[in-house]
Amino acid sequence: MNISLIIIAGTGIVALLLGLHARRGKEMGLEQWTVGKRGFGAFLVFLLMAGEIYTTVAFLGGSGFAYGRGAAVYYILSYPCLAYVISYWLLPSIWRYAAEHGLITQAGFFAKKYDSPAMGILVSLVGIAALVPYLVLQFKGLGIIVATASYGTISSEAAIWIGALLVTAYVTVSGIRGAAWTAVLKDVVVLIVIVFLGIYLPLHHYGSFQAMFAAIETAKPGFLSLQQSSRGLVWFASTVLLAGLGFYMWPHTFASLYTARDERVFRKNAIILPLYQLILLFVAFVGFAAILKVPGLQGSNIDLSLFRLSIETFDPWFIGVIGAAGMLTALVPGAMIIIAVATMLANNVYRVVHARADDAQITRMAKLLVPIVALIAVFFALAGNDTIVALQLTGYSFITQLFPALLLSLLPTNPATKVVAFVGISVGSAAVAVLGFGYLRLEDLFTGLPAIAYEINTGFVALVLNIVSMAIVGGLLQYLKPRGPAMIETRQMH
Amino acid sequence: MQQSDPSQITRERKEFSAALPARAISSTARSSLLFLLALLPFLGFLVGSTFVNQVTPLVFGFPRLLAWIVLWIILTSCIMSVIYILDPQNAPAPPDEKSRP
Repeated sequence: MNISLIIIAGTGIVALLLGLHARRGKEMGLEQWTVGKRGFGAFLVFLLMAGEIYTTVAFLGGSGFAYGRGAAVYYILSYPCLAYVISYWLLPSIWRYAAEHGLITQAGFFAKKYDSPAMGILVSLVGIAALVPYLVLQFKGLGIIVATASYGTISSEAAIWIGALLVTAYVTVSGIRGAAWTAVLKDVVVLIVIVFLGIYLPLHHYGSFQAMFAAIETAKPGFLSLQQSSRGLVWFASTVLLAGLGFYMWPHTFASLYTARDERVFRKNAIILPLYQLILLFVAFVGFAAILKVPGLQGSNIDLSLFRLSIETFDPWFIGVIGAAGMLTALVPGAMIIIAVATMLANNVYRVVHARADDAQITRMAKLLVPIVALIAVFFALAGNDTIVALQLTGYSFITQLFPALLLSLLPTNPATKVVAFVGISVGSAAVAVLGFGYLRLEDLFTGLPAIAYEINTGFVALVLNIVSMAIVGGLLQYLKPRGPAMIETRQMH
Repeated sequence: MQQSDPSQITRERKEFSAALPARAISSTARSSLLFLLALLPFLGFLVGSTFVNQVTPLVFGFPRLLAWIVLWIILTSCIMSVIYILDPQNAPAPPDEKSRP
């Protein structure tokens, strides 16, 4: 047992106690467990929303991506900004509809809007397909953090198991309130640690930021601009747009916006959140600082760059502090994801099959699903070999497929029927499954395009196919529909 | 539920202004101005980056592209505050708002 491990273990216990404490005096009904009875003010909603970007993706994945891919990491700084701009209009209208109808999940939102339980099941499945890699990467990050910070005393595998147990424990007990209060602790610790590392490491190792960037440019010319050879401008623009549109489509983020007390919260947050995520800049600095100091990390090992550099720089006790911060970045989003997946499965799949289940049964079912979901993620975390950012982008490719159908459903009159929306989401997700996992590359489908076209993020290609298929099916249905009064009637229905 | 009252007032205000052609026009103009403002960050990040995709000359010690992106993060926040201020939905609604001509 060394000092850094003690600090990490202590933080884990504090997180657990906070989670337990958050439950006090609250009756844990379904609405309380999942959306905090819609009683969260600007501050907690802000933290839940902002917390979305301070996950292990930022902490380890961001620095790793900066280390391994250079300028491509700028995408992490850019896409949340576009998402916040959209959020100004998107979130209030989602919140209003959800509050009016007492909705607690994202799938429930789609099911209600399109008046189709089948739609709810489809959205749940797409959400779960996207969330599993996202949960896997949180656990993967946890493994790296605890294993590195314990200087090898605890294996990465054991660390993943411990982390999963911890998340399961406080999710089961406290639901979303546990996550919200741990989020407060997490954001404070992470903010301090990241800003400190992002300033200290470059200055300590290079003297100044200017010197660091100049040294990297000398050693690897052009590495800090977008390069056609790896990830160029087209990749950047398509990825930023894809992730920007998909940002609020994550089931757990979507559900966390239900926690707000009123809709003005979202419009206010849209002003502050861009500045708040400037902190990610410091994450990139850490990765840049590591480029010349701990060279040679390859493949998924680039995610270790923050820790490798820190171990060469700091005493063990401070490694413990960094590890504790990192652990929180995995625990809080991990908890929110598990709640979202379990609630969706219970509320939008199980309830459809067992129509007579009451709220108490659904709540019990959701809590029962928590350890199962955690186990599945642990399995993939132990088996997979992807980098954190690659996992995140896979998730984004899936989840953004929900955006077109959602956007249309918020229009005063929705031009898409449930069939059209169903086709769009299915085509998009199928395209992600085929293209994203490399069964088929864009080059095989369309030969002879300029090289630049093949750089487009495959999730973005799938999104285009999604929209095109919606337009085609919508047009066909319109054309085949019998003319006359019947048409007017159906139109009014949607 | 008392908290959501302002939104209801806004909705009623909107319906009210829709009934008056002159008001409706000015509110359409205003909301399209807001959308135009909202478009700027998209242009800045997605299109603008194309023109500054270089490392040197360093800007304030930062690679040029990175400096551009940081600039746009700050600008996005400024733009969103302008939108917030211009958007009539965020105006504090006095209780007699509805009865005003």
